[in-house]
Amino acid sequence: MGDRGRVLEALYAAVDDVNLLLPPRDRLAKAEATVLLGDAAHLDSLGFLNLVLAAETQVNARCAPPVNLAERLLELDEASLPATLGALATLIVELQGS
Amino acid sequence: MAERDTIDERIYGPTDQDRFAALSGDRNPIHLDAVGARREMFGAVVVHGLHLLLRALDTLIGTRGGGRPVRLRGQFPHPAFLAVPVTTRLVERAGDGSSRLSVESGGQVCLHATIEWDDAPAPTAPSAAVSEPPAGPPAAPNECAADTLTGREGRVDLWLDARAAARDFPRLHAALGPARMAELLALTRLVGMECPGLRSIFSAFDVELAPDAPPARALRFAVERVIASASFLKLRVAGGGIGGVLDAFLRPPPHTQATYAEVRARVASREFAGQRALIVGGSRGLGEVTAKLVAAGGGHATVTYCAGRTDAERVAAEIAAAGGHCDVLHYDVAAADTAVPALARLRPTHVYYFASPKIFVKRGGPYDPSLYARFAAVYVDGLESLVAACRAAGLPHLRLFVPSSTVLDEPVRNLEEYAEAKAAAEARCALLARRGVVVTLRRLPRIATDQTLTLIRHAAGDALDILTPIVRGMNDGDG
Repeated sequence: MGDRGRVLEALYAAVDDVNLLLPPRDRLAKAEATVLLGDAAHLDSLGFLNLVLAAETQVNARCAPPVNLAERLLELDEASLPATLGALATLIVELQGS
Repeated sequence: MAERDTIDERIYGPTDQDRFAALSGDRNPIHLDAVGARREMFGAVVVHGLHLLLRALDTLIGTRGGGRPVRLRGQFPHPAFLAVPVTTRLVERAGDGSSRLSVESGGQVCLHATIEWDDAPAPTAPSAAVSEPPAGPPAAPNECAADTLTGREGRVDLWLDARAAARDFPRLHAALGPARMAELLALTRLVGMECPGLRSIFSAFDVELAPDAPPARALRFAVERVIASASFLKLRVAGGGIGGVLDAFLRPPPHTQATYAEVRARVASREFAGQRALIVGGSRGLGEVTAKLVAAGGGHATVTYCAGRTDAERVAAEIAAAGGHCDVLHYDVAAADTAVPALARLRPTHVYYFASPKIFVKRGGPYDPSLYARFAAVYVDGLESLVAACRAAGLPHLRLFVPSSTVLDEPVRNLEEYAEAKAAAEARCALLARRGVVVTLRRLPRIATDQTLTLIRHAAGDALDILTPIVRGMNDGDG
């Protein structure tokens, strides 16, 4: 499994964590196309922050090198944030390489 | 064994809030001040998260026939509000003896927690005494700015009104004893009153409880991590028989609109001299800016309020202090007829209708008819009642501004009821126009107000930029 595959696996584990906090109709699918932000998203701002914190924990538990994901990500405004799980995985791989 | 048993159902009210605030010492106004809370991110008074947890523990001890919680892990992903049923479910009783709880309200999960238990017999030695609650008036919460959190540490005195604890949480108090109860209750006092205090959102906890540890005089805390961009902090706590970590966010303050001095710099001193404007919902947000524009342009503004009298008086005082004209009027959109005498006295030439309930509401299902009804009662019925009241006050010629929304052009998930009510308001405006009311209707984008407060940086238009041309257009009714 490549870096991106491991990151996606970690993100899906974070989705499992966050789905415990969501009602069934709002639960996130474990798919790259899952929308996280924007007009079609299920998460509110608190839910998105909880996902980012869970993602940081899961990614750093499974993948090296560790990334300060929450800090790096949340400096951005909403329009610049990754809007899908796949885009978030891409960003994390970039951060790991930088 | 997977289960999903409902173990408790209740509705929290103001008395519950007062009692828990007194017991815990967490008197953060988000839990107690209905008028102030309407300007906050959640838009209403929020039940203490720790209250949900302690209530669930107390119930669960009864359900399982005893035991002492020794480790508590969980999150508060969504607030619970007053007057909305709150259901506690036992989601799972795991093979290791731990319990997983979910507390839900309004279709949202408000607490998800895992509890580990010690089922050994309770210690027979009586617990040592815990300090009584402090005398004197309660202190106001600290307001820690995000840039002051790194490295912050301190202590919160431990105390307990043991009689009140035994009254409100009898099984939990009996199982834990007064020292552990005092330590648990201090967690919400730490977050809500001390660090980060006033602007806190208690988000998560992971604490262990040592049943036999002696009581301590204080709970020590240290900020372990701060993510300034997310307004997030992690606190490590220890004291007596409790230790662990807490997560919290700093919620944004209510949105501050342009000052009257800033507004005056945008308009000519007499350009709105012909407007005697009634601004419904003028105590804050778009109504506040409109009132300042009208007054800065030489017109006479009357701002109405339903709950926010202090806010309305603040707007009027700011305008009056700089020589402008602004009055304050109590006005309830659901009882417009009671305002007829005031309308007859004020004789407004222009009416701006900014009344609105909380817009961004998490709902329990795919579509909530009661939510639509709440919006329509204000946007449609309230508008009709206002026009009727103006007619009854002898004001046949009205120029009326009604804000609609761009969500009608670009649908937004979870705002379907809002959009539908705005569409109905537009249709009602067309009817009013046919009945001789000069109506100006604009679909406004997302604008920075209390309604659009969020924890993520979100682009939103500036109220002054957007409203200035609208108020100018209202001079001749073309908005």
